[in-house]
Amino acid sequence: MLDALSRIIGWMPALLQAAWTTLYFTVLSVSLALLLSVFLALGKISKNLVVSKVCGAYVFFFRGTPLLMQLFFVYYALPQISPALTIQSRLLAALLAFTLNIAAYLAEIIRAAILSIDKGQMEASKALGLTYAQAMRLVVIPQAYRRMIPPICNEFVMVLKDTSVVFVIGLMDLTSQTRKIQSSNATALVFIPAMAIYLVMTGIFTAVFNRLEKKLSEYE
Amino acid sequence: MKRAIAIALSLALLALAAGCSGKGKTVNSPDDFEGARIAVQDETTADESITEMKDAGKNITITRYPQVINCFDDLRAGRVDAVYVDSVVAAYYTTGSGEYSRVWLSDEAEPLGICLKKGSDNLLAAIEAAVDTLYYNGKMGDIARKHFGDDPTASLRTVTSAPVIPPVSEAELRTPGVLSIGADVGYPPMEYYADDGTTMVGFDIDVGEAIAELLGLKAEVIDTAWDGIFAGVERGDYDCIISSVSITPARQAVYLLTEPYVANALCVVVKKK
Repeated sequence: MLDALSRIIGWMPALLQAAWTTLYFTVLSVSLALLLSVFLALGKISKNLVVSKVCGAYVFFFRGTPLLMQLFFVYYALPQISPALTIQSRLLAALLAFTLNIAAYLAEIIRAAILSIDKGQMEASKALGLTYAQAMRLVVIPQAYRRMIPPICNEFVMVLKDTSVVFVIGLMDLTSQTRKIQSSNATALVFIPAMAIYLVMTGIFTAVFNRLEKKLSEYE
Repeated sequence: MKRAIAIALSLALLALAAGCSGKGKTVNSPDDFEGARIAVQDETTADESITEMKDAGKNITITRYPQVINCFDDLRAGRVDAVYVDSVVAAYYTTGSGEYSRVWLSDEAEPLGICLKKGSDNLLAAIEAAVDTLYYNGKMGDIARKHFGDDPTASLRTVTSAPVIPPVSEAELRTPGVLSIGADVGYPPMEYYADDGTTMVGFDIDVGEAIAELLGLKAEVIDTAWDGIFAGVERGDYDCIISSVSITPARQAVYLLTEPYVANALCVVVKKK
């Protein structure tokens, strides 16, 4: 028992280092994706047929192909198409693939949230003389925030775990580090602290999102 | 929310700056690894060797890939300065290639052997005798020339009289009548898939089939990831590993390894200027 404990403590620095990569990467890619997805969602709702079709095609493509393959494509295929397309940093290449992919999912979440707001809100805003952009920014989207929170939290937790695919381009996240320790020490014991770290990370994020949800529903 | 996004964006920019700071370095041997970016396949002897250098205080940026081809892709894209790899595989990428060249070959031989789990002594003896037979009748050289162009098996074993192959008991095999071979298929020219994507070809594949034939068995190659290949033989997923396994004291302590069947050494491959 004590022996197992001391081994687990010995792995902790490596595991925590990898967990930091996972965490940093998840927060960064989801944040960037959120930014992109707002435009995609608005584009898909847009009455302009070209904009709406382009955004629709984007979502179709990035939801319809595997994330792993997109990552491979960005990292290995782009340099072969043209050396100018080489992304030097592994982290940046992974970030690009993840951001583009997650944005497609988030766009649908945001679109659904916006569409769920009663049409009367938009009509009333326009009656008050607000432009479409003002109505969206000041009236509709703020009300949609609360409805986006649970599915975004869900997406966040999914990404936190999906991050493990980055090992194919040589990045070391928590899952790859765990597998490395497992294979070099021939022990499955390492799964216990690794899963505990995952639970702590998802626990913290669920708590943060729950608080956010409470705060945003003050007026409902 | 806006502040959070602003922070995220600035972090992304920081990552971008960090990513672009890596500058190319000319590598001619492991002595130049200091400050260089080197790719290796995860858990290989090249990985062990370079990790040792790093632990000894050298400042090396090591990238570990699950597949050896990724190392060469990265070299081509200029994301690493050199690949540290087995010479048998390096030859495949450098021979007749305008892109890569081998700049250094280790003096320390690291020949390859066939790996079995402890306790499979009879099977080991039978495989050893079968390999001897392939040397005795010259077939090993034929297989080598077919895959390497030259013969890295020459002078590894001298067999002067026809070896006697001991019978293999069914109890030692995973499946009766079949020699199950574990291999990480994706390591050309040793074991890889032909252009159709499904046929396994390579030096080890041919050697495995020749050994099985001599033992009166059918060869079955089980494709498995390198990471975890040794655990697989231990668990009995296959009878032996014929997958470019370097013979090292650390491995010999835990598994049974045959005498060398093909010569190999670590080497450094760089992109041609």
